[in-house]
Amino acid sequence: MSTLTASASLGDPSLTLPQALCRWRADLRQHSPLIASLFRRFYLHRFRGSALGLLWVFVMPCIPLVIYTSLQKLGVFTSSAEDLPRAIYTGWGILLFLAFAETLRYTTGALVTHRREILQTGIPKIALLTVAALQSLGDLALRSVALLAALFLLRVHPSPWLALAPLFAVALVALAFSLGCVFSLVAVYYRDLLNFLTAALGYLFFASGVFSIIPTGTGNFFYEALRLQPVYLIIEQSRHLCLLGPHVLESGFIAHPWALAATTVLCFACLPLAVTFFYRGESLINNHL
Amino acid sequence: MPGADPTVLRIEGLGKKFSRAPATARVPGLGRLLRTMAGFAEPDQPVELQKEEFWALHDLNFSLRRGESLGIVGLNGAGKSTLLKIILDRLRPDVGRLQLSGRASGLIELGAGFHPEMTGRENISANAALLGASAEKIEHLTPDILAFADLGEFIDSPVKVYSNGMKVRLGFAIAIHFLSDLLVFDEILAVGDFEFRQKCLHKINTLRADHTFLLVSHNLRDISLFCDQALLLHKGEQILLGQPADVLAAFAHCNRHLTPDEVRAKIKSAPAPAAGSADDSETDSPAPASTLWQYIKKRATRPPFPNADPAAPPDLSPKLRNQLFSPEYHYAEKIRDVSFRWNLPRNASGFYYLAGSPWCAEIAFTLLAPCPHFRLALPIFNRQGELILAPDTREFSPAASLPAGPHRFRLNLDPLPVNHGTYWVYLSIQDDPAHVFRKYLANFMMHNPSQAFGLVKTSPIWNLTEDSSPPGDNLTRLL
Repeated sequence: MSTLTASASLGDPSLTLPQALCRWRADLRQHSPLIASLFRRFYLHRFRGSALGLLWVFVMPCIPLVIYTSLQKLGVFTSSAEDLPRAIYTGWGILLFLAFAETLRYTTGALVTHRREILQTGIPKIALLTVAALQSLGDLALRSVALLAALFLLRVHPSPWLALAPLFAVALVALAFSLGCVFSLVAVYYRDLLNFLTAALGYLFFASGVFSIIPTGTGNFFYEALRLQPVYLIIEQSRHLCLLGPHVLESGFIAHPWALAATTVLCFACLPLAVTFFYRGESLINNHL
Repeated sequence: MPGADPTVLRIEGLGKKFSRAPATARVPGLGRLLRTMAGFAEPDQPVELQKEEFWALHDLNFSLRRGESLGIVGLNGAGKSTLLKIILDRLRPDVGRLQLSGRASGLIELGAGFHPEMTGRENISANAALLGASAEKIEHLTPDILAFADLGEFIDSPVKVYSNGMKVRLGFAIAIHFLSDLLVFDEILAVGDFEFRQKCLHKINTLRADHTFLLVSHNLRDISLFCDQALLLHKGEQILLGQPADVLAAFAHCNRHLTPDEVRAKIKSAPAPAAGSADDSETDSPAPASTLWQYIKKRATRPPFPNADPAAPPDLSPKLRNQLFSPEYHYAEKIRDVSFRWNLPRNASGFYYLAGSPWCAEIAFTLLAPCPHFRLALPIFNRQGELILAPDTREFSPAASLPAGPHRFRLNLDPLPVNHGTYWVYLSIQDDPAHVFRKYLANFMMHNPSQAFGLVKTSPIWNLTEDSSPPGDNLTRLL
């Protein structure tokens, strides 16, 4: 017997973190066929009608890769790691950054984009967000294969720490999903957030270590703040750890390998918190969809 | 479970507010969201209406037990769809309480939940997953759904190329195969063609005993035949909950210019239309309430089948003819070997009927399955499409249940008191309200030598007496 009362429209502020996690687990389990079906539907049909189809997954990172690698060759940007080919250095950054940016964009817009389905079919909102994250993970997996092929073709011998690369990538996806959980609810009230996010991610692209490191010791507070942001930390540090080895971390510009570990853990830690926030507020938004 | 509460749905004091200016609700809404997410308890929302707010639903109270069907009627904007959305948990109430035992599902919007780029077959899987069905169950039921929807090769075409009717076929087929405790349908059969509509009605008929239905329809006939109870909503308020015939009669008093209280007063004061008149109507599209009874009257005099007579009434445009005429129908799973004969003589121009002679007809058929709500009728229409007479077995036995097997009905009628002209006869066999068989039979010419005005021809006896005395008390003075 399910009961809807007037107080239900006020959300559920008393929901605790363990309760939210149990609910999330139950939702994922109950709706796993739905999530699988939605994933197939969204993932396989998003490029339907386009000439390149699923190749867009590779074309999208290739466009900035070609542009900025060319600019670096012309000397506009300087590469921070001369031991790595520019394409690999930039490709690594683009791959991780896109995993973060696309997850954030997809999840933030998930409820607004699918508002008709939510109202018409009662589709669980968390399922939509999960599918959005799975889409990014799907792209990430495909692009990772392409990057591995590039490493092989360019005869780059990565360090054994490359095995940890999926962990770092998934950490960024988890961070973006966490932010997306909260932003998706806010975007229902202010859709401006979606445009703001697009612009912000455009700027962050250049401030997250994709093309080069942020200089140290400048005394510039803005630079120091950017260096502390988790996207930068993970992209920059994981690139050196996975492609060159931990000695670069110890001897180079990275303060400590633990910084990478701590940032990764922090990204995953955001997830249960964000899910709790999401479940507390999700029942409020239907009237505004 | 013995002793279990049979109530599937209970609604107490339910209310839902909407704002005419949603933009002004953003800031407080976002503030409430952030406070709730942070874990701060939100004080109860005021029950009173705030600026720019209005009640989309106000103080609804009703319950629905397992196996019952409730029809909801009301003008546009009465709150019917909002109520269904609340029941389906798409919207949250602002006041009151809703208790649902089990799961509710249904179709509340045309094409709802279909992805336009996916094929019909892919959409079956997607929608079934949405209804919580396992992959095995989906695989098991897909052939049945395909057979029911009967979309042919279109099932592998993207849904975006489907017509509205095709979407409804698919949506209804899915909904009816993945059943929930409460099935909710919002005016979805209005766009289906006659044959599919009959198929749906048969399916609903078989499910009625074990499932609970909530039906929103402008087709008053559906409401009166399918529903045990009906609810009349007007401007978000519950006007009347009761027997479908009473509620449909009350519906005639609804007018969008009246307040709910005025409608209540009007229902109380005005005499209700004759019982059964709504029941006999067949409205297939929304009717403006102010002219509801005129509309029902018009529909009750539905003209014959389009192929009945090549010289059809000239005053009907082809569009109107298509709109009004029903196609012939045969539900092959339920009936076969239908035959008919009557006692009318025939000449070179067709059957004819001599005024004053008795009229009898005989209909034989074989039922392949029992008909719990059997009904047979022989409606007779005139050239203008007006229903002249409809001898109906319902008069003979209101709830006749007929077993499977061969049956023969013989109809004896008194001399038809109709005027000179041509008349069309149809045969309609129903497992009420769904049609099992419907066909134009024949037309006949009424030979009535002494023509008169009007539809009915009687044999009046006039007496002329010479009386020069002034009008007395026994006559009403007119001039």
